[in-house]
Amino acid sequence: MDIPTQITLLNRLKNQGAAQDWERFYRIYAGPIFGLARQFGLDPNAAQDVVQETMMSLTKALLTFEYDPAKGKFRGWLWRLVRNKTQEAWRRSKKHQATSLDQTDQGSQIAQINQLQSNDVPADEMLEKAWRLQLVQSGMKILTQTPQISARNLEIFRAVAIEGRDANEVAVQFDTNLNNIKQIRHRMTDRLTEIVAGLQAGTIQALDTV
Amino acid sequence: MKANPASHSITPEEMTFVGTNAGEHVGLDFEGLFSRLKEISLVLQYLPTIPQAPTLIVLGKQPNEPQAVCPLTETFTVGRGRTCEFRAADDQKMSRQHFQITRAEEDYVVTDLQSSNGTRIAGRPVKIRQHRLTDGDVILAGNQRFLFVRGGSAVD
Repeated sequence: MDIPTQITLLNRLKNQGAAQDWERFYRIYAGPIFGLARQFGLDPNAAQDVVQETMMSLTKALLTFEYDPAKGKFRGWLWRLVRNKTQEAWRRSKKHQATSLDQTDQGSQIAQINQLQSNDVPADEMLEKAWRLQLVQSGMKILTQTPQISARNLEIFRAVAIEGRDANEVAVQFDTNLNNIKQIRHRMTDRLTEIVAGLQAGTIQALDTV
Repeated sequence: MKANPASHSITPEEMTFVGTNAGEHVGLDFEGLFSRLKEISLVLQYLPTIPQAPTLIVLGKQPNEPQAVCPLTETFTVGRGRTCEFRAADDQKMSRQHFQITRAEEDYVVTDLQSSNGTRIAGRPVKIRQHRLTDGDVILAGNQRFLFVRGGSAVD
């Protein structure tokens, strides 16, 4: 799995990128940045601010910095930006308003922020993970809107694969047998995997852009 | 490149993430954000240099062409009045003292000065009384649009 660095796009942006180049750039990177900020416990509004601030810094940097794609710096560079902006947002929300953090799992968030603050966090790993999660989420949206898949099968898939419910219990709920549940889960997982691979390769277009 | 479903099967952790909707952005105006960022990038390209200090850029009527570039002081007031740091004398929708930007530790905060027509931030539905500025925020007041740039180009 590899977040596209889009070297030609970065070069075009540096050399008087047109409006559509900038838009494409923002659309590629906004999702993983937003997802990463959310993973680190920021609420959606604070995460959107991180996207805006990161994009602004990237825009300014791309216009003024010499970028050497051969050295593979871009992802590390992007990661540092996201990390710094997320830390700033987290500190700000902690300082001004503790409630702007989701209340669900404070202990886990603190652990995540500690990990974020650690210099040992492998940049590529974190960013790739965020990118991958973004693709899976986009893939799930496509799956749910595939006309050939029934609402019932989607419900079964959600119950056993996403919510992690017991397959026997789900079989009783949907008045079917365990084997059928397993088949549905297997088929849907394969289809989702196929969609995610297509999104990664650019052969399938995401329904939304973030 | 052809998709290869066998190469990256979905992990249980990824499935759980889909269930949490943590990556969802329901209700957020990402399209508006993209549109603003696109305009901002073109405005910044137009400038001879990227601002190195916090700056208010008065966006012009012509696309991409800024009307004025104002480095921010500790307190910066915008309005029709003579005492304002940026004076929009001909804008009848602007109050004499319309809004003020002040420095608050590491942040900059915009405060509406009880203006007749109010102050807004692009992408946010309601008029503001006070708002901590984010790099790239566009302030809407009277018939004018003001872009806040935090300054600096380094990855800080």
